[in-house]
Amino acid sequence: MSKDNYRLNDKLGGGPIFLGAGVLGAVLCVVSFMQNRKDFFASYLTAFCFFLAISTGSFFFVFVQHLARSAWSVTIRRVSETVAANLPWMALLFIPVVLGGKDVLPWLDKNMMANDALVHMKHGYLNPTFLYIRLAAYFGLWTVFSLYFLRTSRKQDESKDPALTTQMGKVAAGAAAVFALSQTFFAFDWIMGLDPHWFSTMFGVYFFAGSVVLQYCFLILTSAALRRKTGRKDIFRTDHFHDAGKLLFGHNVFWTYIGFSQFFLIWYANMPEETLFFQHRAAGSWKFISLMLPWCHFAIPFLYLMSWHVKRNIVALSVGCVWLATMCYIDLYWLIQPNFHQAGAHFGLSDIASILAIGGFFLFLFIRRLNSANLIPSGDPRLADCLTYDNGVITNEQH
Amino acid sequence: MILHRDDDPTRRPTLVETGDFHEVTDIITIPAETKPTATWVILLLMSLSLLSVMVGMIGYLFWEGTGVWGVNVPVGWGWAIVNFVWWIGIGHAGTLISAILFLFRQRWRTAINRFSEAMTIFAVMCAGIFPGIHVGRIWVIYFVFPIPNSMGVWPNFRSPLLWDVFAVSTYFTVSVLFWYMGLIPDLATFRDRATTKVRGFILSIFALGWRGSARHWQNYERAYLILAAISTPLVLSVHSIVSFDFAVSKVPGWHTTIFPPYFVAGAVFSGFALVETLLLIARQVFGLHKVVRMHHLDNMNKFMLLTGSLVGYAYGMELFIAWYSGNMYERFAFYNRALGEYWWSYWIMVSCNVIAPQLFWFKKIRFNIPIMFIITILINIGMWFERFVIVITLHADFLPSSWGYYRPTWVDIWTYIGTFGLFGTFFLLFLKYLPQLAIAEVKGVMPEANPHFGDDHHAPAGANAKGH
Amino acid sequence: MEKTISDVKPKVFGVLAQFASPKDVYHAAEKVRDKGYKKWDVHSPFPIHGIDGAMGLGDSRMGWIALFSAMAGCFGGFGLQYWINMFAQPVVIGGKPLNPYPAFVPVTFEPGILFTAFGCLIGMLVLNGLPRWYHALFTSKNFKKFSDDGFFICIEARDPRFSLNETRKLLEDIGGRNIEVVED
Repeated sequence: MSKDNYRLNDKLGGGPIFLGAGVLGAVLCVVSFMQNRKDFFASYLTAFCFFLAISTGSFFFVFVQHLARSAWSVTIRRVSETVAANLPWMALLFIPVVLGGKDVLPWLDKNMMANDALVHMKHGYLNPTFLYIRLAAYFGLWTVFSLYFLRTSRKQDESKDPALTTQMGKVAAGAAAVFALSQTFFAFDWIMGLDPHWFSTMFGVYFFAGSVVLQYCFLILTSAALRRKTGRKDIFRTDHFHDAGKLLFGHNVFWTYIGFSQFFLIWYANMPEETLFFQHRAAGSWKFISLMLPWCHFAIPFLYLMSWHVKRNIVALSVGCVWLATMCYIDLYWLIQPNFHQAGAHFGLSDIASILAIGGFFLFLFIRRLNSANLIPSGDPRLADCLTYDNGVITNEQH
Repeated sequence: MILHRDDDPTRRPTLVETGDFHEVTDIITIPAETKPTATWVILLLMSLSLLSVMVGMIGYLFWEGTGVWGVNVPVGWGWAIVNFVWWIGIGHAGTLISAILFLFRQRWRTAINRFSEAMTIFAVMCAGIFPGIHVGRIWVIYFVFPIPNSMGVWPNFRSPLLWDVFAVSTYFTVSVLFWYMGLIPDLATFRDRATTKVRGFILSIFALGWRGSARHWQNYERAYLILAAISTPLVLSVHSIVSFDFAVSKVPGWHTTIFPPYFVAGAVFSGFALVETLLLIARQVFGLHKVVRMHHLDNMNKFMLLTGSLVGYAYGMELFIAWYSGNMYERFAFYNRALGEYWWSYWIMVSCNVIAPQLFWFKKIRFNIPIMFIITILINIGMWFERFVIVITLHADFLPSSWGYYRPTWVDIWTYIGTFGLFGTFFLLFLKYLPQLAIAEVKGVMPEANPHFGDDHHAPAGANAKGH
Repeated sequence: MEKTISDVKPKVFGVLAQFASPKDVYHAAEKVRDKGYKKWDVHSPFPIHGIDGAMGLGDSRMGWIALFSAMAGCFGGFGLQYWINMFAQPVVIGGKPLNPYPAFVPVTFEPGILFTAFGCLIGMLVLNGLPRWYHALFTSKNFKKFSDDGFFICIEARDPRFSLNETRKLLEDIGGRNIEVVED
């Protein structure tokens, strides 16, 4: 087995198209900003959180693989490492939201800070200085850790040093602690904080659950693209897709569990200060989305992904991933936008522009970086296990 | 160079030390075939006496009524619910450990799965006692089940206490089925080694005529996989439903949305702790060092570190959101927990559940048996206090004139201590008369069990099987 | 018809051969499969990975049994609550509607799981023809090792290709030891 066997020379295409989409999106963003600031910020924040969730979810995936010493995921881990390393770029893409100020976070309004009793009570947390310090901390920590994992893993491609794996395992433990708090408080600050009166202890977990679902969708779709591009069915194995599919299924059930628990406890106790959240989401066309999510985010994918024939069929699995990723977007849309458009859902130019702009740059940066090194962590000491592990399914497929 | 598992310093061997199937059979079956040791008999007698104390206390309670307990206004839920949640939490980990580790193909589970499943069943029995006896009019306990009756009265399906009935009874039944399913092949092993007629006869009945057929194994393995797959959400649902008992209410400190996953994490945490406590004892008493190895304990310690930290995260979220909500009742409830009359229970909880497991960051401690034994005991104490802290929030409710201080009575205390007798009795009987480890599974994860054992290292292990 | 002595005479159930290791029995099974036998079986103390492929077995039907049990449980649980709250005893409690769907989730879910678990155990036993008190193989003393460290292949007499001598020879050729004819 020669070393070169695992140095993949193929490159993932599509970079220029995504760059073009990003530029076009940016222009359209400016147009929509001119038309209506509120629309623009609502849409931009939604699209931003969608792509941020892909990155943070992938970051979670990477350190969990190290903590669990898992071998199964080695070849597909590079995708997650690379997309997690988009987090520093996400900091730049967040600048428009920060500039939005009180158009995004209503409590930043001086008037509200002074006169709203609840906001006033929370002044120790809800004040601009602390908000920006926290924000810098989230992105700073994410940058340090995500770049560490990508760079160390790439270094290992050359050195094949197993000591690096041990080291990454140790750093992963610290990354877990940092991640749990930073992602929770990001969700508190920038999604829950859109309505400064409302609160839920589960909120951070809810955002996390969605981000992991999204992460698996991205991972499966990208790995499917790499499998097609490289033609290396021995590296991007059907077993990988099957196992990632199982985890996608499991995490989607977890999302449902968290979402249901949050809704259920608030619905049952029916206390005005909490129920308002769902009251806002029962207004106008929001009600339709609220009722759609349990069916389209949970029930349909649950039945669809239950079959292992679907999980082992890459086209069928990819269809499921596109579906679920769309649902994750709608979920974030449903979390964020009722704070801006109380009357009903309002999908328009600004939403398309934001998705194009952030998504275009996000994918362009991802592909460029992925192509700049080997497509798999070929120096990982668990690579051999990854290429041969057996997930227990006996099939008649030819490998 | 690509390292293989065997040469890889970052992966530890996951398997038993011996390579001989017969030796594994011997190690696991001999304790059940020899005469009970004096230690075992003494322990059993102790457990039986505690059990009789429990029976006596319950009899006294039925005779006198719930007034013999310390519950009163404002604390209407005392030790009974604390003990219920504590035991059921411990019980939750067993099946979850077994099922989740199975689904994640963690082969080291074989060292602990049978133990933890048995522990689950006995812990759920202990837990089930408390809601069963607390109802006051014990003679109408059948009201909790939807049984058609001449009064035309049905249970209230909107009450979390009724969901509990369904959740706990389902959980108990499914745990027994899961456990028994795993036992079938091992009972066949016992049957085939039986030397006396009576033993052979009894084991033949329970082994159901198992003959290790590959055609049977195929259905068996699939059924076991499905059972594991449904046990996982079951565990989550059951402890979530237990948390609903508190969280659907409007009581400050109880009504918080993170309760369901927080309770589940706590349950896994305490369950791991008790499994390890018992495992360490059994390993010492029965000499299971070859099968229950240090790195199994290491893995369990890491799990406790993880779940302990998750519980810590939940405590932190509760505190933060209580403050952030701006709700004065909510803020007071947490202030009162930490600095009020029951401050000591809050800080016992925090130090045992959040601080103690942090010691597991150090490898030396993860490999030190006396220290890990102490930490697991601390965790169990801490998890009991967690439920105590939650329940006792009632002592200072919305109306300051009715605030009061709750104390358990001697009946409360001895009923709780007595449940250890119930647990101990069943557990000792299990240890003596049933396979303590899953014989078939331990053999199945040995390298020699692989039909491609000794083939070329780089040949895909499953590829040959799949090529047809 | 009257029973005659010849009817009671022991019938041959099949030929049983022992193999040394999972590896041996695995490769032996492949050869038996390739010879075209259908009524035969491998017996081992634990499931040997991939043996169903080596034996040429089809997929297990357990999944369908579990799915139907789960659906029966869920519909049963929900139906019970719906009927009680809407028809048998319609009482408003806690200001909730008569049919508060979210509150029915726990008791819809739990019976679903309960029924699936029973479906799995009972389904497994039914598919396997268990429990059974007697089986011809239990008459073999050596067969008791199947639950310890013995790996066996038994080719049954009801297989159309079965012939005492040839089958015995085949088992010998593929490495079987302690070959014995099991009588029913």
